[in-house]
Amino acid sequence: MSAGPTTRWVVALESEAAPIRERYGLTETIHGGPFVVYHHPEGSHWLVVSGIGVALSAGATAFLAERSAAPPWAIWLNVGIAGHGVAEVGRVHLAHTIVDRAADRTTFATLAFKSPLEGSALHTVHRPETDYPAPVLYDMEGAGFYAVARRLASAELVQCVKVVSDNPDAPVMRFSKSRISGWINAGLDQVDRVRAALLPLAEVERLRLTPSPHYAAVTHAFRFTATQSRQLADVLRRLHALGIADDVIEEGMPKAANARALLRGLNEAADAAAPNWAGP
Amino acid sequence: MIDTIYLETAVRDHPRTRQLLERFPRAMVVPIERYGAVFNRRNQSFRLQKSKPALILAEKHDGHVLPTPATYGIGAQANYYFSHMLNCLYDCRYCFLQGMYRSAHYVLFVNFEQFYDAIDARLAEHPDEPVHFFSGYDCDSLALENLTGFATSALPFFAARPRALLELRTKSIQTRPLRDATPIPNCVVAYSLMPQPLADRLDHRAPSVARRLDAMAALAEQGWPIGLRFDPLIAHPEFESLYGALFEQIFARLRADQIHSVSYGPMRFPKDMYRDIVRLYPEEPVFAGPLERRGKVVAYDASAESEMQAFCRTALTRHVPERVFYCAP
Repeated sequence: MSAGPTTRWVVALESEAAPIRERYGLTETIHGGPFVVYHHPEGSHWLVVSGIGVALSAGATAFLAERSAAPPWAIWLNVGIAGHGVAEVGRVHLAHTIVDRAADRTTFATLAFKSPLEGSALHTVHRPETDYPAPVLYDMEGAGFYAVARRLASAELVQCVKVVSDNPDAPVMRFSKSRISGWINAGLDQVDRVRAALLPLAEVERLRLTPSPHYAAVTHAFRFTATQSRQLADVLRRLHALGIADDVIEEGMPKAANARALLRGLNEAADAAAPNWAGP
Repeated sequence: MIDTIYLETAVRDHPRTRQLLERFPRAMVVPIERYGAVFNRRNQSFRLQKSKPALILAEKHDGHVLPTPATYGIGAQANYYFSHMLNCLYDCRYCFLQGMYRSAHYVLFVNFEQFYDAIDARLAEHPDEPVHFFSGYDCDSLALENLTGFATSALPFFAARPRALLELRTKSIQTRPLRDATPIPNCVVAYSLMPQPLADRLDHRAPSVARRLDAMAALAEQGWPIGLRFDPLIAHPEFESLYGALFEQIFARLRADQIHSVSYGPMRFPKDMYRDIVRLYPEEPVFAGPLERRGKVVAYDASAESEMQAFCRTALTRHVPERVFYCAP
């Protein structure tokens, strides 16, 4: 698990993955599962190539979460090419609405930042859309990705970004790998602006969800039941908020005979303390 | 200010919607069917959304005006609240909204007229008595006035219904609709206040207490009835000196005859709400302090609550008569 900001990328094609791998230094490769996974040596970026379709995208997202031990503060991005009813080829859009056409299910992306990109609805279809009936994005993976990824992190950290590859004036066709990589590469600066906007939100989540640094040491030293473990996490949270965790743990651990005694001592210390109004 | 607008398609052509869309021409507009699909969904973060709330324009279909809890009131027997808006510009750390809603987006119900119809219906249920209506339950009544125009719209309505009293609960200094209007005796502008050192830590993004006092004093001089709301009272080692100084500060600017009502109440939460708020802000000292679970609430211990309330009553009665004191609404 990465201790800092970390991004999970889900793409359909190797040709979409290539520019991302190069940009973010995803030099490590993991084979041996249903999907190929790439990652940065320090774990700051992980990417899975799902293949085409909703089911594969959903499966690959879940697989990447498990394989990369994705923390709940990870940023999740689905990036790829898409058709569009009116937008020019090469334009980069953030999906604000994700429609699974086969399931007739609509979900709204949760935007907690000023979008640096134009917004568009994204319709995930099961066959390439050749009629472009509406002024929206058309892809074959976004809904599968989103349905899974929003269970893995707070919805604000999960976004779909699409580069327009075809439209009524330039209909969908069998694109060369180099052409696909070219579109993604050209759009990566804009994709990165979305990622950059999400980083501060991810950091808030990381700080909120990271367990107390004392938790591991304490549970290593004493045997806690499941209930006591929850009580320990709660009292450590209080002690940190009160600004006295280090002192209380340092003083209390050597004196405690067992987990129950330690918990009692920690709770008494927290109850006796006043909030640190001077602030950290 | 607003970068994303979720828009219920049913109110797309409502005049208030059109005005707001014209004010934010660069906003990303996302059509939706019902606001709940955005506002009530699971696995979203109130805390993260507070960094950049979107605006949701919606229609309120039912439950426009509801009875308040039994203990909620400032002198009438019949008490109701209504919420033309959900959520608030400010980010006060003790606010129950952060434990009540999954989303921090601002929901504005644009169909004000149906709220007014519901208020008239409630008045008709109580033909021979005053009826109080509280507007600041799920939002600050004035903080987003320049967006909503609600007070501007509501004041003439209440002016024509003297038996109906409107409470505008606020920390805002955006008081132009009141300053531009002739005061009416049945609209109470109720300011939420706490000592500045506590406000510095807890009333995030809200105007300073001094600026609130300036706004309040100007409204009082103009003739608007003023409410003082010390809710929540926050325990502090120097509670008495902090709150005592605040009261002196207030009554150096206001006369007793300008005060419609005073209420105060210690910080407390329903236990499930407390749990959810602590999950959102585990590092917050105010939730780590001397709180205990008592039945279905998390609160300061009973003796501490009594001491805080007794101090406030004694200190405040030096400035205003007891008849204007009420339990904390």
